[in-house]
Amino acid sequence: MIAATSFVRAPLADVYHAFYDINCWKDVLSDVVNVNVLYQDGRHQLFEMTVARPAGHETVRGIRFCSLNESLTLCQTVPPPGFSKMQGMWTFHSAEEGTRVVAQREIALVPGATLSLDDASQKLHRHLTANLEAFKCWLER
Amino acid sequence: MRELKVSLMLDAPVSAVAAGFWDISTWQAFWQPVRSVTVTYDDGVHQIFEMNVEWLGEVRTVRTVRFRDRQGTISFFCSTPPSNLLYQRGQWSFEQVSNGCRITAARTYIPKLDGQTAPEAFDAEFQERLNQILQGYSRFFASVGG
Repeated sequence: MIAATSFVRAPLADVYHAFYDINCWKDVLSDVVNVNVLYQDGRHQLFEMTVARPAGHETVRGIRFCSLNESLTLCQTVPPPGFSKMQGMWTFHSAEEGTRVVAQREIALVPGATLSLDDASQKLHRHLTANLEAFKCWLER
Repeated sequence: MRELKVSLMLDAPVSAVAAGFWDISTWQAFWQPVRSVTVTYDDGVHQIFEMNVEWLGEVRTVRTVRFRDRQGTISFFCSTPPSNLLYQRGQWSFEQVSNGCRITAARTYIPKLDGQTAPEAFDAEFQERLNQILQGYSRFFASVGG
């Protein structure tokens, strides 16, 4: 399990909504090239997201189960190249003068992946931390 | 949003009944309107499938995402609901009772009413259809030695 935490000086509902509204991710994260919401009903989302990587654009596809102001649970049905599994969740906790966000991921690599599981986990942890920081900056701007 | 629940008892262990219900490819064997099922993703917890279903002489595609929790309860939503619904989500839950397993089908939905059918009549027909699915599964489960 890979986990990263952030504290955001913003109300829980605003923080949840920023993470829920996947269309706004293009404004928050500089590497997001495109987001296509395939289905959304407030509780469930199906989406495609294209991100820029050094080797070129990557498109992932995922499902999110959305529990209002509590959590977003993610399953990528088409994970990034090299991964056979990318699942996890964001949980949102009311804290004094703000909101604590916890991002968790479980991963598995495809056979013969170039990175070891340890290296991939460390890289993903850095990525999760950077993304949480980007959301914090965007929400506190 | 409208809601309904239907239950059926099966004289079988919960684990076997719940596991059989996850295998959506078998539905064609016990639910007559199903023409074909294509599973596009299944990791044992999440499942996405397309089901071609005949309804009033036309075959329509229903797209569904299912999620199975540790108790075996299967929750789902339809990203493309059946042609007579505007929205559908629901659960199949499995409960151990003294004489076997109680399957409960719960639905939350928005009907696509034609102006001639009262919501109550729609609900009654939907409830009967769910009863038929559960009874069909019960017969299928017995026939395969479940």
